[in-house]
Amino acid sequence: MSSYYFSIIGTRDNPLYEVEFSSFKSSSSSSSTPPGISQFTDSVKEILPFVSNSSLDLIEDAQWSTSQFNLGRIDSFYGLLVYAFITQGNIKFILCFESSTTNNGNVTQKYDENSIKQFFIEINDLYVKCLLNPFYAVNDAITSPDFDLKVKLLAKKYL
Amino acid sequence: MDFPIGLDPYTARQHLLHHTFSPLISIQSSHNADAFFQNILHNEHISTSQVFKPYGNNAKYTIPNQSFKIINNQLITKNYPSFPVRFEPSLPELLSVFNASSTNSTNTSAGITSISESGLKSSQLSQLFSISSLELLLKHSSKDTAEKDLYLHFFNKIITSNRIVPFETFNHPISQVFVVEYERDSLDLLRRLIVDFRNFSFPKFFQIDDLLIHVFIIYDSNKVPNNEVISFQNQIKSTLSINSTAFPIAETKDTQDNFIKMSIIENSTIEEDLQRISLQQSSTTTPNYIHIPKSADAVIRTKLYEYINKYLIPHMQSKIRFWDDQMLQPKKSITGRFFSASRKFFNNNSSDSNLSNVTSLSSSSGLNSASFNYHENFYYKSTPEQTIRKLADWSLILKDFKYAYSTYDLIKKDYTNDKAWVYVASTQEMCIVSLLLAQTQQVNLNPIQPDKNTLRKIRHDIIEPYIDNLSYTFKSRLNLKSYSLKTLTIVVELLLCMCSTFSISWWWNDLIEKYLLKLVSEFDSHLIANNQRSQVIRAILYERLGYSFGKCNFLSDENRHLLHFDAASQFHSKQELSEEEELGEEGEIGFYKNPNKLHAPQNNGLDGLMRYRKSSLWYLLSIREWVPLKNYRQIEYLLNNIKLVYNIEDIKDVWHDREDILLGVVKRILDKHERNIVA
Repeated sequence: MSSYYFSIIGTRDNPLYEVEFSSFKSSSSSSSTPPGISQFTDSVKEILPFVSNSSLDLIEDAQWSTSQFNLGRIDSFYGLLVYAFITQGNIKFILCFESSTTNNGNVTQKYDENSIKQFFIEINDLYVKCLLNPFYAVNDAITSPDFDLKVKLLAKKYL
Repeated sequence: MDFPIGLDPYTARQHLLHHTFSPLISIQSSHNADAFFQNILHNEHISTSQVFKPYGNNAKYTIPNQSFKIINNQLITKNYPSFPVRFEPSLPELLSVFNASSTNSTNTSAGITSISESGLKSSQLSQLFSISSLELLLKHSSKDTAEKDLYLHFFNKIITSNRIVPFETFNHPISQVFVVEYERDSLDLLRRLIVDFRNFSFPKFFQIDDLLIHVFIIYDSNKVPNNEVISFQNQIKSTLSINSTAFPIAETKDTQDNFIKMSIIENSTIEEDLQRISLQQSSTTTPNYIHIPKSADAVIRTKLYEYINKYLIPHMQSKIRFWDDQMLQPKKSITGRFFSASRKFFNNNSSDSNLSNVTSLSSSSGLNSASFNYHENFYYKSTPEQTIRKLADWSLILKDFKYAYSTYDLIKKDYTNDKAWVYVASTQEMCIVSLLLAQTQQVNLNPIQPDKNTLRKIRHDIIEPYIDNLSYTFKSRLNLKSYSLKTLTIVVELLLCMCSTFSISWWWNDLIEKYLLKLVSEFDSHLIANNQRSQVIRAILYERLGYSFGKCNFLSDENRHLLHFDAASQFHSKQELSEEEELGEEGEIGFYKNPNKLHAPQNNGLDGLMRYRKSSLWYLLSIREWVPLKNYRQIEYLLNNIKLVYNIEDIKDVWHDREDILLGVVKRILDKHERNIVA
């Protein structure tokens, strides 16, 4: 069961939204921890925002070399994998997660990458909807509980 | 603007040349010479070698207009402003210290190396340094070393060693100097010293014939006339056929102005430092400084300069030329190649049998097929393999890096054929080091960037495979992890030098990161196995990671002008240009202005071309290691290196100052600490 940290970063490197969760898959086997609660240790937790922030350097480098919005895996930091997606409006979606230990690594990773891509695409839809709100300005923090719920549903669906 | 602040890799390179790749000169003094210096310095605890030791670094203790002329094998003469040497105690003394310590360490580490393994491998080879001692020492010195110098301190300790090993000859003395006092020491005493020295049973890999024997004669110029000493020198020359240098030292009056304060802890190893610290804690009799009279200081400097220029360098040059002629050229010739090829194909059986039949030291066959001693892991001193290695080492010392590289490359094949793994690993290390030293030797101010093919060859054909190979050999085959740690540290610094000379960070940056992370994990795993936390070492290495990322830029030459800092503002705060600037002439009254428009941030052209945010992350991790050690000076120093990315002045209502994440936590701790000081 891997843990995830997802954040949306604005154009001024400011986080707009962040959430921690863990995979809902195969959680039934381990009954001790409730599903969906992230398992990051405290020492990892306190640096997660900085890990995403530091990966911006690589995102801004990678964004010029591809026409895709989904940048895929751009960084890894002590077992933390960092995936990124960039929107048309220069907003970055960053997903950090601890790579899960699976037996057949390759197949799962491929599957992971596809589901992360799908996750990002649907988050982008959500973000655009949020942006359509006349009371929301770019670079404001996203505080809508509805948005939060939908992100979590997407996480449950894909990750 | 110089950002981030840290050790310039060129300083590290210079220290490498001064402390590791410099001639080792062993000093043996008579009792009277010691007494003479004790009298002059008014210090009863000083020995002659302690007095000479700091002067070995003639880059620091210079004389006016000094220049060292070195003629290389192609007969090209070059002058160098400095040529440091290392003064160490005499060889028998050094060896006895190591023998004592190695028997100790094998007793204690018996749990780690299984007995069957250690029996198969050499029982002689021991670690270059003890990682736990290094951590201990750094923890101690982090309290009083200047923040900026801590990495240099770490680097120096790793590269400084006087351990004598068969597979590299940097620590084999090049010259043996006997120090005698003219008035009380006689020629007979000198003869006896030399005979005793020659009769010592040296290790079988050490060639005493290459040693330059020399005599320093010390006398009081107030009491003894010059010509008497000159006749004594002639006498030595005629009876013992040894050259000598005279040091006229006059006693001076006891006023403080006439003395120079000198540190005696130049070039000390980790163990020496720890010993000194524990001694100082128990008593106050061992200061770090000695006071040398100005006149004596001048004499020692000039006479050592004379000795190096007149005897040491010519001795090395002639030896190199001789070996080149006798050993290297025959090997390079057609017949030599034919022999080595035939040896490779027809000698497989004998090398196998070598494993069982232990020693066959000197081979009678011209092919030297059995010259490697598998049991004790060394080549006999007179074999071409040992000599050519020495040739390469010495030419590196004389700063002929290209020649050294080609020699290392050549001899490496022989070692591989002989399965002399420790030699292979050490030669691979030196291949990388000499190659990088040659690349970073700044001959002119505008160095030409090596082309891509060269870079590709250096990286993919030399550095990467060699490093993998040698770490495997040192770690798994020989259980000598510390040697591979030393190599990694050196290679990282030299690569950083290359990055800064040719601005090709994009080419090396990931490799530097990989090696530094490898260092972190190796140190960690070792210390955890010994129930110790590697806090200080880890913090220092994280700091270096931060530095290497901070210095990294991917700008092409024509875009370099875009890089400008405004020290007051943060680099990545994406502060927008002020509206007037943005709108320019069109911003006249009457035009509609969209208040929600996002303006282009400053440094827009540099997006993705710098690595400041990544560098800040490593600095933050380094800070996190210092927090439990309560080293606030270090924390503040490191915070300065992230000021372009994060606001470090005060706690604001922004994301990175939240109290549950690292920077917020650190700032609150610092704040509390400052308030405690005030209160």
